[in-house]
Amino acid sequence: MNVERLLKDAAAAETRDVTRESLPPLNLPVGARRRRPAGRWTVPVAAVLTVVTVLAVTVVLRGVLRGPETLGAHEGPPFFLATHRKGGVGVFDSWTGRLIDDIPARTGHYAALALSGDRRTAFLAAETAPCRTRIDKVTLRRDGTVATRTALPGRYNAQVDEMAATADGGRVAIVFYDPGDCGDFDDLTVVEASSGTSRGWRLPPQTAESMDYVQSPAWAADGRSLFLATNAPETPRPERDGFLLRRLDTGTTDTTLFHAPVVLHSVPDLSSFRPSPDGRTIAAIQQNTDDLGRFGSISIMKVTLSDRPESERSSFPELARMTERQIAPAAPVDFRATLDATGRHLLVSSRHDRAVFRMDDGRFRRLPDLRRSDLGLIAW
Amino acid sequence: MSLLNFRQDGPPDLAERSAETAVTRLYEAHALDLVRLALVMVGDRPTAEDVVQDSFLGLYRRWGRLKDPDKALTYLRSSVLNNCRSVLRRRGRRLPGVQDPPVASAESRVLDREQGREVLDALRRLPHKQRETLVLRFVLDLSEEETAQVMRVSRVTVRSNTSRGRTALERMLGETP
Repeated sequence: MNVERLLKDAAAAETRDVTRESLPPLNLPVGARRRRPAGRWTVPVAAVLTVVTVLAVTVVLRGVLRGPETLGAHEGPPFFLATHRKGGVGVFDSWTGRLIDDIPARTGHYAALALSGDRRTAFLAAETAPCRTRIDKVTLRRDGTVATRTALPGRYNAQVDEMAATADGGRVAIVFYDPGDCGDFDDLTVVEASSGTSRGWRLPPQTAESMDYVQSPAWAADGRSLFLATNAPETPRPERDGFLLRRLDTGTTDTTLFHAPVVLHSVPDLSSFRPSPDGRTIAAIQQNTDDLGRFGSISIMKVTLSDRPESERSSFPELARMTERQIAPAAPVDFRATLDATGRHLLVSSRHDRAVFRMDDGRFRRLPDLRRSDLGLIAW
Repeated sequence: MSLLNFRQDGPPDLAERSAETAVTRLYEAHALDLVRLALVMVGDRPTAEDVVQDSFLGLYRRWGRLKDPDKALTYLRSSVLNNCRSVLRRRGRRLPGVQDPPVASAESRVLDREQGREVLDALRRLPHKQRETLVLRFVLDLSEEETAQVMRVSRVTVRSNTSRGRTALERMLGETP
């Protein structure tokens, strides 16, 4: 029985007693409807459209004149981490797919993972019970074998969605989510790995109209600024809303996420942000799928942060692309993709076909020996 | 076949009708499916009914701003999900059981329901984006495009959340891929 069928059956059983006859009538307060004056938005919308048009033309012209930059030779990361079905995390050779070391979960299972840029520190979020999370810090040797594993002080009464480690592994940013019954918690927490001290940030209070979220945390090279994606304001064209990339200064006293300045408004859905050392550009992944959600390609895009982030960006220069044709005969479904810390190396895991692919400076490779079908989340 | 039949034709031509009439007709057409949706999300029926009432009330109040009445159902689905999320955020305790099994339930039905509750408990532990995506895709049988419209995200995000949610559910339920 598959998950889809399980969900359908469970929902059917749960709602069996809900019938049309048993529903209460709709109660509408007559005369309570509010009206908005016509034409109120005409002038501001026209002004915004003018600015967007001018900036879009400027960006396109600059992109055409400069062209894509060429990637140079690079050895690439020697190993990657992946969660597996036994609940632990494996360290795998990223050229052969061989299992280098295994990190079994001590209790519960690992639900999120992050690897530092120097690949010597990994943070693993262990879900020990509903709304109970422990963060393990794992130090890795140069060959990927495990040297030590310690639990960071403190427990978190929430569940982890995503994590990001600084380049030196000194700090970890944790995005929490609410499964519905965890009570009060921060949406984002930054933990000092040496002491376990932490700071938290929150989204604005939820309302019936808001769809606020935070995701895809990524540290700047300075280890102080944190890039993160949040929802863009709603417009009449939701398919064009995209997301806002913000730069959060974790050294300030502010605790509201939406106070972090916006550095990009992107229409395309990007993920796996990897800021350049100077913080002016970011490499990111854009997954291209057809109308049925089937894999078309995964591209590494170069995002130049704008001085006018309020203008939305619809396209970015492409640095490299992995296509469906290259991964064939792997089925074009159920992929995981991530960039390494430099943003130059792409790792793609096909859970359906037990295959892992990588792209280094535009060169496509298929890992030869990976025979596992249970890889989940990956970090490179 | 699922007992839930959320896929229905879009709302009738409402442009020339008053807000009260239009919203009431929408309620008659879609309240059943929306209450079932809310029940799957929040786990108890009174709350589910309140959530749906609030969503229709919100639609009624905003009717004059609705540029395309054909999008009313999309708005309602989105509003129900938002309201469910607000309810879940406010709760500082474990989700209650949904409803007691009917007195006349057969043993198999009780077992089915218990198994179903295990599945829904696991579903409710997912991040809200994944949870809502799975419910829209697999319980409501919405297409990827429809789900993207309801959640106001791209199809890529829908696909990503579907994959991640499915993986997490498999892990929690001990399913093999």
